[in-house]
Amino acid sequence: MRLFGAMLIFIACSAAGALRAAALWKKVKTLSAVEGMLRILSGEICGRLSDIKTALGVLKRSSPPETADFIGALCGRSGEIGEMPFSRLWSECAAQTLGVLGADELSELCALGTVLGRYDAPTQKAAMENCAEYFRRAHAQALPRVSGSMKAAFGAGASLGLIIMITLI
Amino acid sequence: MDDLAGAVFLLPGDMRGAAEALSGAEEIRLRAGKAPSVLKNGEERQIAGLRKITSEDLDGVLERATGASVHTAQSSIRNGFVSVPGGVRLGLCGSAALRGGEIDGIRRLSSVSIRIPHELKGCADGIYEPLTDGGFKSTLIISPPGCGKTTLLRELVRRLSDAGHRVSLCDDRGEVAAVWDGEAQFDVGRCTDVMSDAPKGQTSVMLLRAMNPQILAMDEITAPADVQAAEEAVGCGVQLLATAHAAGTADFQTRPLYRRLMEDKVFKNAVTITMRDGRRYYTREALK
Repeated sequence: MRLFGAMLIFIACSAAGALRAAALWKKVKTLSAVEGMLRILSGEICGRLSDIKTALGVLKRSSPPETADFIGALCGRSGEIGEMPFSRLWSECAAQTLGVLGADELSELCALGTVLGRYDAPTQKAAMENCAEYFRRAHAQALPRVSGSMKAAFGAGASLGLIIMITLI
Repeated sequence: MDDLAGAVFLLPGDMRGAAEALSGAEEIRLRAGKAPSVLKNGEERQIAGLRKITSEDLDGVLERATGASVHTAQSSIRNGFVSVPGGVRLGLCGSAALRGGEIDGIRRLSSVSIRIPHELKGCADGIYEPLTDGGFKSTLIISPPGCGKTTLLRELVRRLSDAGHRVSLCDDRGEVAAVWDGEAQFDVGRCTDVMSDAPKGQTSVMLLRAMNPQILAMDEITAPADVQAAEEAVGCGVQLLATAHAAGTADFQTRPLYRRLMEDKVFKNAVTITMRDGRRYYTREALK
């Protein structure tokens, strides 16, 4: 019985480590997805001069899965454009759906919302390119670290489980 | 959404309750640092009980007017206005941004004028018969700003068009027909073709070539290119219906820009709009 309980604890700790590793991987993928989303948005707004609702519709069809909830939330609330400043909609949807990002990354994305739809196309393009570049760099920096961090998270969970298991036995 | 509701929607959220005070308004004026005012019957009055406008309020008005897509209206912003669905027009004032020596846009808005269009069917009843007696001849509508030139032009276009005349309308600011998604928001008649959002001087030539009009209508002759377009239209045997800023025909004739039109006898009739005690009076005059 004691052996069975110890094994369960080992499995639980290993699973917690694996979940942490998965979250890290998801964050890295989201950083890349946000960059991709911003490139598409820039093309729509600054290249084709689409209005914001049309641009969001295009993003909904073509955005990576990691940003699908964000775009879905924005599209769902697009009827509030005009009633509420777009920057607020953008920030609220980002906070609700992109919680995997760090505070600095969310802040960068929210700052972009204050420019979108408010200025001429070149100004918006510059802001989107800066923001996309920020996320590209964040992704590039996080990628080499993430495999080590994933191993560490999984290893730490498994080690903790093993220690508890040995102690209990 | 009616015209007034369209204009009220553009106001900051906490000011929309003042809609009653705006009934019959021709324009709503929002200036940074001042309380909003309303233009009725040519007279501007402050709207009681409303706070002062901030520059953020003005940005918000532009955001609502463009559906948070200011970049889609950049070409008209360069000309100082934005057309809104329903025919409402937003006049913009602020710090002009220059690129290559030309105005590229407006940054830091300082004031906004929300112009509310009025469709007054029947306003041309008193002058329509005299103008069309013996066949419609080129006609100029004259008045100072804010007296209803565009409203009368729209009504004359509708009447002429419904009477079977092919009318081509140069609606460069989208105020006459207010075309949105390809459909005129105002009734401009069953035989009217509208070209919007481009300078009259260019669109009139396109309309003459493409739509074979019997009557060419244009709002506000203000530039040499407009004068040239008017002359070309008349040279093609097309009758012209246009508006211009002036107090009356005598005042019109003294303006250097218009002198050539008068010398060439482009217009055969003039309709002058005058306002007295909040009412509009239309006077037809045959030009010699």
